[in-house]
Amino acid sequence: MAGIAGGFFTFFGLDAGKQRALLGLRLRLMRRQFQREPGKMAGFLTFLIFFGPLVIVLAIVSAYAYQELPGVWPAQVMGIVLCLLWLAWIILPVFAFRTNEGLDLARLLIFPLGRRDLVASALIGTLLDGPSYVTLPFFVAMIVGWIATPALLLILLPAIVIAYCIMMASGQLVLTTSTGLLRSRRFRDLTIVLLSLLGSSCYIVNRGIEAWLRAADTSGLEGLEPLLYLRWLPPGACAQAVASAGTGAWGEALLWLGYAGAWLAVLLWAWWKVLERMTTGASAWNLPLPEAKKPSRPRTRLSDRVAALGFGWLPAPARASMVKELKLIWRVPQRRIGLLQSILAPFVLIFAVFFGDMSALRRLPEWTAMGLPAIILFAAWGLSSNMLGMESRGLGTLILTPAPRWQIFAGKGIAYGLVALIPTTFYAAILGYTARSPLIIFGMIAAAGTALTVIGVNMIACIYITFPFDESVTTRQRSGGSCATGLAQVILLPIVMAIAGLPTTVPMAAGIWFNLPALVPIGAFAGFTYAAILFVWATRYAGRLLTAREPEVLMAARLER
Amino acid sequence: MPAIEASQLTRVFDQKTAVDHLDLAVDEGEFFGFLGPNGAGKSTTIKMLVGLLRPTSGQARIAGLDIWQEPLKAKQLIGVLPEGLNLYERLTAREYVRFVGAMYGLPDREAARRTDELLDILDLENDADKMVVDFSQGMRKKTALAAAIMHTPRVLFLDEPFEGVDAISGRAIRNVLQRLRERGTTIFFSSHIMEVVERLCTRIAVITQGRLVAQGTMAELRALAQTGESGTLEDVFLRTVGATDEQILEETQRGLSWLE
Repeated sequence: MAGIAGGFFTFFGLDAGKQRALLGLRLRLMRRQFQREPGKMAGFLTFLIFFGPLVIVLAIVSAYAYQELPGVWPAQVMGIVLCLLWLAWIILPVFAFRTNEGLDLARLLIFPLGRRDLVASALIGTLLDGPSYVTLPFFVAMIVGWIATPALLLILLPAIVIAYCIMMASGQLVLTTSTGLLRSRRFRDLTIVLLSLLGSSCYIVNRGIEAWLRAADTSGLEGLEPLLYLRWLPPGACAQAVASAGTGAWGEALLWLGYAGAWLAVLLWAWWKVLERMTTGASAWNLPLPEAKKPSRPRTRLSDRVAALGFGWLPAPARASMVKELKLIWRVPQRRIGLLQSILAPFVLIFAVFFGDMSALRRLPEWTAMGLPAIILFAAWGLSSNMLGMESRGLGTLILTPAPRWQIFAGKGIAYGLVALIPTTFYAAILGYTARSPLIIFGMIAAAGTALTVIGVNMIACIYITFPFDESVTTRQRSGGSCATGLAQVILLPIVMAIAGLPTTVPMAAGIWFNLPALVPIGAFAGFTYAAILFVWATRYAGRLLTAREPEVLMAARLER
Repeated sequence: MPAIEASQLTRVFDQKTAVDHLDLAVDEGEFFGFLGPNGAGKSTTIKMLVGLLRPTSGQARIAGLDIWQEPLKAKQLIGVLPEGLNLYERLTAREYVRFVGAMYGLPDREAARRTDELLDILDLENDADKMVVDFSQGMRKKTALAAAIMHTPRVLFLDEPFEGVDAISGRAIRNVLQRLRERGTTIFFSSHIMEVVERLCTRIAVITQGRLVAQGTMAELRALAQTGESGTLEDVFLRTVGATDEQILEETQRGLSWLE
């Protein structure tokens, strides 16, 4: 077997020993990645469980189409499938989705490895990438689709190999080219936020597509031959080769294969050139020019503005902690997503429920005001969850300072409360405008109480339930924690929050339910007073707990490198 | 009363004893060098002394205050440049240093003044309004150093302050440290750069495998290691950790037969 593989490598002018070593390294790194990050394995299995069947069903459908569709359509479908897969391999790296988890070729350039060996090892290594497993079933479907005509396999098999190599080379080219761009933190941050918002607005996108499909003219669909256009694209040429062979035009099929092969050669060459430039001419990318010393200028600081807004009475550490938290909620992309989603969610919710009949908003019952505590509950929960772990590397700084710990919690808590009020206020404004009920005001008071309760509970919880948060990882949020912390987070905490939060809303809800108008404002104010007392007590208690458990909290929040 | 005192300080990780019954006393105003090979327990010791890592047993005191009994009072007296730097990546250098100043209770105006001066002297003024996440290792170190000294601590702990710092910045840091020492700050620092330790430190301790194997002035260490008057700190260090030039030479020759 080793001899056959060796012969194969030698045939293509490759060094079998080096290829074995590179493949071995790739396998070891992959195995260790799964060992060090068990969550990755869980994610992979979840992906397989949820998306595996979908991919297989789609592949089966495409195989059925290749076998059963009449006339030119099987090759047309093949062209569409190949081009869509190719498009996916091109687009995903731009959005920081790692399609290739192989070796960093830039690091290998210091070794005496030939260009051909490096390129070949990169292509062979893609067979171990997760996304490749999504692609391969579609290739199997093509073979199954044409298995009844063995002569065609002579063209189909090389066409598939070329198409696969084109996808990998294109993905690598895009990835390498965009690396300079992706190194820019701003671009990465923006991508994360945009992707997240795109996800949260899926409903709107869905409605848009639905409307477009309704309006589209489908009468000319039968005469459509997309391959006439797609064949000029690299993977489309592979499909065209199969289509030509299917009509007996073998010479033409070979020409199309040659055309696709030429595309592959160009892509590999371009990829290599970009890679060489990236690694040997790094200064061309992103390195700032030396700057002249700028004269320092007086600037209005956010802390001054916040102090002017009425928080000047807070002790300096609490104010600094609040200002720092407000900045980080906006600047850490993963946290900004939470804020933006919490602002967008009410609008999407309203749009989804009342789409087509916006006038129904005016017929909302009075108890809609009780929706406000629910809105703020999720906003405050999301913001204040794992509040010490979210400090990431900065937690060490916080613990090294002598600032009274309750002041740190007070500052953080006020920041979370203020931010949680933003989406709730939007929602309250909409309800206030449409429902025109004074209950909205009391609903807001109950909501503020709910926020204080949730944040108070999370302050105490974070001393015991802390897990790492890596803000530098932009493709996904890497977080850890044990099974116990996970269970506490999803089961224990909600129960405690519900029990602790009941007094903030129940009196007001009882006033509405039993039609006792006098009870509503009393209940709302009583609930808020209770929440404020709980919040103050929680800051003090959490402060004492943190002082006693600082090294343990620091250990729990520590990022494994 | 010593500025820093460790008595029987021990830390065990699983089965491994990282620091083993360490006794140490550093007087007020001393410039104390803490040396050791990689993995000797230097950073673990510093973490226990500043309250970032709970010792398995033993005590750590700063100016007589037990860091584990009166943590906030003790932390008010110290400044730390820790191993991992612990910076807020998404704050700018200016914001970060001011934030730390506020956490030490400095008034806003004073914190702003000191921040500007520190960033200027450490040659970070041009980058002061860039986020730390965009900084190089050397710039991060200088930012962390500015934060560590901005409240004029009585005791300053520095874990590898010169690692990854260019020569100009290194000189600036040395000057700042000298000035701090002149005004009475006790400086405790670990470094692998022997020349710097030899030039700056009034007293030096050597730790290996979690145990303190030597401490004293340069002259005392030379006598202890029997290196003679001309012995450098590197000679002393190698001798005290049990690695002589001859041994290293012999091991490399024996271990690399293919170089024969």
